[in-house]
Amino acid sequence: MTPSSFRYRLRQIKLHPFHLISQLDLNRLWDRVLRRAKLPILFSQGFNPRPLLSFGPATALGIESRAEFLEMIFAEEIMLDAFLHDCNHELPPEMQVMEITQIPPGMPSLMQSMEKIRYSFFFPRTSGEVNYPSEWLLDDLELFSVDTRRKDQYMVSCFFRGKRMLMNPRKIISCIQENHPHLWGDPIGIIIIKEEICFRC
Amino acid sequence: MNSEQVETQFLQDNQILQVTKPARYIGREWNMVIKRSQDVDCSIALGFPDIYEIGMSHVGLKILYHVLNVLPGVQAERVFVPWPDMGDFLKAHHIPLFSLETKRTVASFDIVGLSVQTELNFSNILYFLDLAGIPFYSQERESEFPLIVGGGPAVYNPEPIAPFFDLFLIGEAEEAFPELVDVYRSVREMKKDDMLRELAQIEGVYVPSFYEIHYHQSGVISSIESRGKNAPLPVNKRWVNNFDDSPYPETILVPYIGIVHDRVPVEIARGCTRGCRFCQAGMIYRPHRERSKEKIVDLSKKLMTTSGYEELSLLSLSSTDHSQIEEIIQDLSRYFASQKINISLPSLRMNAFSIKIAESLQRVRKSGLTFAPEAGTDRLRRIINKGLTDMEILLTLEQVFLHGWEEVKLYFMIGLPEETEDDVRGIARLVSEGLKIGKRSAGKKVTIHSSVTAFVPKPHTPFQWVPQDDFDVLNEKIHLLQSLLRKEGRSVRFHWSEFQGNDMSFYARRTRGPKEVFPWEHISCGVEKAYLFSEWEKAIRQETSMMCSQPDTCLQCGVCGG
Repeated sequence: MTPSSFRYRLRQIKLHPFHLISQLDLNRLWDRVLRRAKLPILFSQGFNPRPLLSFGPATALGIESRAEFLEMIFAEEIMLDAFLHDCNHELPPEMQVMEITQIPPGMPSLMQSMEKIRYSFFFPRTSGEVNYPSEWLLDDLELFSVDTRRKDQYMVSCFFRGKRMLMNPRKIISCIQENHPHLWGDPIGIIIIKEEICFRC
Repeated sequence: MNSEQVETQFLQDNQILQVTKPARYIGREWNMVIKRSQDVDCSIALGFPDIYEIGMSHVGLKILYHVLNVLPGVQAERVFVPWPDMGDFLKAHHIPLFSLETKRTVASFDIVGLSVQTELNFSNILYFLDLAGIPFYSQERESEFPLIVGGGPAVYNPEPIAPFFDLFLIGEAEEAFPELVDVYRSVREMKKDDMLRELAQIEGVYVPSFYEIHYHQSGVISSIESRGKNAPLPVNKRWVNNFDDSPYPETILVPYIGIVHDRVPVEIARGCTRGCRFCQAGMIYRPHRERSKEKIVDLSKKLMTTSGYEELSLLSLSSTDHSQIEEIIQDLSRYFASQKINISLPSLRMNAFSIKIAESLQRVRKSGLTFAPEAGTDRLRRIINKGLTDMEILLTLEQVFLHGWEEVKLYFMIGLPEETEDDVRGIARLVSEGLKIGKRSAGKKVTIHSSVTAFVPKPHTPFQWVPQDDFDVLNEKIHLLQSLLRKEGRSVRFHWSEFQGNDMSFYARRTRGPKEVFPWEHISCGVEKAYLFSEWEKAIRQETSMMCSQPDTCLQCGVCGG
């Protein structure tokens, strides 16, 4: 790292249809966005210079996200509003950057400072009367809310913490299905959205 | 399912996660073109009979996408063949094949252009039509179906796929396609046969239904005739005369997933001056034409700025043969150095000049280099007119390893005409020698990857008269080479797979007579048959031919009139 470097943390969304591009694709996309937007990103030293870019936890393929976090290191201090404008100009509307903050160089990395991740599960209503569980009990899951008021959907929102934090939430669906096979016969149509990541600091 | 449902419902469904790499089917790439439907009066599906990663790497498709979409009123959209899992998925859900831009069904377009790269694409053409719900045979399609147009290098021999196409564009389609669109607009209301008659007036258009092929009892063709004066004979290819001013995209689609050639291609020259006798591209893309340094530098800057890509490739059949290649690379390297953009050349010849160029491209990282000696001995290289000796190959390898590269890939062919066992053994000898030299000059162990393919005689080349090697003979050669190379622990890859089917020996494995009428005789790439035959005779005598870049070495191939 050069003596003058400036660290920024960004939150980006990744909505349909870009929930179908992988973390690797997202990495490639950012390489190109940074070049198109002519941002003063720093590169790693060595034989194969890479932009100094680091991502938070990868979102599993097929899951939409309002909480893609990444950090980048620039050679100069940037104007945050101008950055948002320049960057979003080079990104599709479903992948806009929503927030950017400058953070001190010594802060722990994204992965180190992560505490919990919240996902929302939207279950399509099935025909006929079904008694939806109003409370769920699963290890390492902290239930946030169950919303049965909406007519077309049954929404469950939970925090994943501990070991479960980095697992694919789709596994939870299979687990629920095993325990409550009568509720949702077919996992098709269940939409999962990564809503937020809580950081310790 | 309409286009909106495909977009919202189908791609949203978790079911799409069952297929591999669903991002192949979402479109939405940076620089994609979508016009308002009220501004479009002619829609063209640019079909590619291969998967996304291959089709998206194809330069011809990028050029056509640009050339057609700049035309007012024209919307060109891409359609690739899905991977079989997605193909099955579409069929199971009764979703017809759709375009990536607006997710419209292929059958709803006015024109479907299919770019055919090799004979290996043939079966995918039928798969494409099948998934699109379009009848295979031209004669089964009335005007409610799109006009199915074929193009690309493989249609210089169109007959194997002729029944499936309404017409072919022979040659460089950026010349003929806009003209086709123009004429199409004025004849689109006509009955199909009348429409085709009008379209056949465009130079380079071949309408199979207007020609008749007559045979001898032996099955050999006696003559090819056109029905009436409206169908030209032969059909002459279209080619770009003023290459420097020819249209080239200034923005390029940037895919999300990795593709085969994931970089910005700038075509610096078309055609090749070398005259290798096995090479179809070297014949059909004649004459050799260069883009000027100024245009190349300007295009490169624009394309890199609008794409954000990390690599630029200076594309041609023999990139180091461009008369200004050193100056071009100097200019571009200086301009791009601070942006961490790599410049690459796809085709390096085995000589000191190429090594010097490669050295200037790779200031820091030494990745591998790839060369194509093609054959194992000087004798066989004279026969194929490769213009390369064992000595030159080994000297080049010495330079490569001296300059710090540790990995080299070499391309060879087996089954070339006049090949003997010694030529096959020669491949192993060269590799062994190369490794010894490498160890000496690099001071450590180096790696040579050999890639070996079976030669297929191609139409419109001096080897069009020769048979392809028999399966058994090829297998013997492969085994010999494997045992020779494996004994020394060398890495060798063979590109070879067999298939069971009809007996093709009449078509592929017999020597054709000097006077025999070829099934592609009604298609002309400008290179004359007499020239090709004289090259074949020279090959037998192991005589080489000069490059055609100097006026005094013109071999009268016929394409540019000297």
